[in-house]
Amino acid sequence: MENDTVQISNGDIRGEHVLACLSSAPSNARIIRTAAQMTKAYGAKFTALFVETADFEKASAENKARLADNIALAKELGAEVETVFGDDIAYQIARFAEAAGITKLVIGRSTFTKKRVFESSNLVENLLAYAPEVEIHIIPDISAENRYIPTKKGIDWLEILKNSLLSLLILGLSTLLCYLFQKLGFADSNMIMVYTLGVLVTSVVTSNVVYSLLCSIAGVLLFNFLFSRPDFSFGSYATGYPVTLLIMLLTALISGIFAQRYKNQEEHSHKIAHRLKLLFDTNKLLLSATDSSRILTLTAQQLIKLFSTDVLIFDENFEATYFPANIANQAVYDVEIERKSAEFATRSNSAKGGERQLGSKFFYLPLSVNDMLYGAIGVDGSALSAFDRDTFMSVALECALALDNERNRREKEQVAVVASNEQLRANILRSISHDLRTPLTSISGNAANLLENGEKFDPDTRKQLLQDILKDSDWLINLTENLLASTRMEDGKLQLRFSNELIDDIADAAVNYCLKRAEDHTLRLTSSGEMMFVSVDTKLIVQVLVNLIDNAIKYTPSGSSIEVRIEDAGDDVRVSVADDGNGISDKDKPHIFEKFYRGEESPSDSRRSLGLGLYLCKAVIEAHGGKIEVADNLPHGTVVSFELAKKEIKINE
Amino acid sequence: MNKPLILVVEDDSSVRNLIAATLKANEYNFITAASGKEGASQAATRSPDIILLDLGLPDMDGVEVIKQVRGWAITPIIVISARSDDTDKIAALDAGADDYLTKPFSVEELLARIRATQRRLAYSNNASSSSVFENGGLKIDYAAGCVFLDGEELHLTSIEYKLLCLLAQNVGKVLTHKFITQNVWGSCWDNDIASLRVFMATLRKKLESADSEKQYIQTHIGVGYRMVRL
Repeated sequence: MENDTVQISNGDIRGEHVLACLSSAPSNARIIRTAAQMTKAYGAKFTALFVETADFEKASAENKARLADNIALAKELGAEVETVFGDDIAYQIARFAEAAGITKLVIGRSTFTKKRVFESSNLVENLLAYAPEVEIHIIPDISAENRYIPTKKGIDWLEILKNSLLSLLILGLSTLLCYLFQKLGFADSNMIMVYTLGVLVTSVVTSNVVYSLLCSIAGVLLFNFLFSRPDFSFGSYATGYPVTLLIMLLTALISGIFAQRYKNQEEHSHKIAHRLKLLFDTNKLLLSATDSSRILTLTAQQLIKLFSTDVLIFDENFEATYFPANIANQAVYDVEIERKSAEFATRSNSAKGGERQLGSKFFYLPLSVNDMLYGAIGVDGSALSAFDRDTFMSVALECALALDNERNRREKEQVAVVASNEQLRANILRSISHDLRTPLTSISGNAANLLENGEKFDPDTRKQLLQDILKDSDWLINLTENLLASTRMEDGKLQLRFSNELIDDIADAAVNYCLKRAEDHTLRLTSSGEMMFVSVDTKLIVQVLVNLIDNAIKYTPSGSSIEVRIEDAGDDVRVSVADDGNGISDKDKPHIFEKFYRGEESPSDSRRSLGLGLYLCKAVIEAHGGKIEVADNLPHGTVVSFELAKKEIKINE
Repeated sequence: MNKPLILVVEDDSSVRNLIAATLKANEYNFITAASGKEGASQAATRSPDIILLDLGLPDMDGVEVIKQVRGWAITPIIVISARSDDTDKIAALDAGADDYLTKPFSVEELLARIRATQRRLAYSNNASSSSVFENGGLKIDYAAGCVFLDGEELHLTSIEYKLLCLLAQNVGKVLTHKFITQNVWGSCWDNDIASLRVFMATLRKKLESADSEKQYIQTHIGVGYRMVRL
């Protein structure tokens, strides 16, 4: 017993890795299941491999669908599904097995159904030769009715005509050359070489080995008929001829097969190079995108370019965006079914994904990186080959990476904003604490003085001290209002409490509030009397007006007049606070809305100005989507005005 | 007229002292309470004429005190709120408070509110059963459904008339938007409140066209309206 346990753990350490070979055969499901059972028994890793050959693209839709089913089954049973390309299935499997560290290989008989002339009929032997260290398990295909019968592909008559004409042309040219050689008295062997060359050329320029084969037979017959003695007869006396003919036939065949293989390989490399270029382009494009919706749009455009199919994208919140390949011909789809299907794809498999739900028109891949899900992307999957799916996966991964980068960048920015807000808060606190000291010193000092020595002061002095206390506390009261409003501004987002208010009522409230402080000034409110509603946070807008009026009072000499004007400005309401004081210098104008800016020519009690008022005004107005600006009043003075969007109100009678 | 008895319910001793000193200087009679419970029991035993009530009491919510007092008395209540937020004031007004003051308030403001409440009291004692309402140059003949301003008849729409009557019946009291819309429209939607603003604005304009110095209707932005006793 103990020994057994040790052996099993040894097996674990060695890391068993089972590979199931996928095919489009119906019996392939059995192979996958057997491999899955083995995986369980050995506690091994499980991979399923599909080798896509050059002609798979031309396989019937039925076969492709069956392959998709088999791939889905493999995934369901926990396999990582991989696809490789190449015509020599044994070689591809062996190479993959070596690279992936496969220890056990499960294949079925139908996997190595003979597909072409000269391809090895014994896949197992080849596999053993390529990868001798891999254990191979063969699952016999017993159910006769399930046997994979390759379906005939459609015949391309144009292709045949083209290839036939080419072959005939080459044959004709070879014959002509041979005729010339005969006239010049060259040896027969030269003519054989000419025909062999013709066969070689045919195998290179035509798309199927059949043509070169036919060409070689025709060449042999033509040579025999036209040039070998006796002329114009098939009879041949020379004893060496049959051998010559046989060699010619073999040459044609071998060269034809190699040429064909070379051509297929080249086609594949061309496709891969094309895909790499597209992926590179996609990558470059996505790098330039700055927000997630742009990334998704670019990805969709690339996919349309790649596959010419419709694309359906679900974002983080699983909201669908549809990108038709052809605007004139848009697909009809059920968003709910598609959403379910997309969600299923994101749940069923982390990175490889790709199941299709009943009724769903699209084939989905999740957009996920490191367990972060950014949505799903779907293309019309019916037209995708395994190669296309691989490409699609790469594009989806690129897209997910771009989204991930974008999110990281956004988070970093947010952290930076929070940090700068913290910095600002610290600045405000420092500045306030500093500025609070002055009035507090005056208040507490004066109060203490009055308490201790009240009787010793003459009535005028006493009154002066009391007035200072009052003035300084009023200043503190106003500061508190602004600070309260600023704290609401600082919390990253401003929490506005909107209500529909008549602009006249707001201005009225602000003017009434300021009247007491404007005893030395003339304060007036003028309005067209038109009833204009604004949707605003009333408290904050009143505070803005109070600040503007307060500033006008503070920065103009006694006796100046201040006018609050309400005007209709089309879609907006314009509210201005105009004074006829000394105005603001052009140098200061651009800066007056900055936090803690106090101007160079400050009034005498500049120590009392925190420079918070106008900054707050600007922030509040901008949070309401309006704008605030400063201009000169004519002939002298300052006008600060802001505009807010009018709000249409339906009146209930 | 006798100086009324005023009950001051305020937990903060400095503010209580300030109010007490102000009342004393203006020769009002007053009693003080430092908690909600004490205030409610004082209101029951001493039957004050006016109650000044702080909303932020340590033992119970000021609005609760209003509800208790309103259970058995219609004594005018002026609430004092420290928060700049309007919601607690509106809640207090809807619970039955008559007026409000926001901290920090000035001494003059406090006295003005008390005087206004006094006038209202005097008026409702004398003319509560009258079918004619008179306030400054404004005269409403409820029986005839006519409104006169400085002797001239005012032409009001039916909603304006309803609004004016509601304000007149509660003269000196701040009426919240909700209270007015519920009494005039029977509902309280945001849209009604917007409509209310328009009707109030036109009504005010009609009332002020004759004499711009006299303001009959005050706008309490974000809270409601009040007809001022002139």
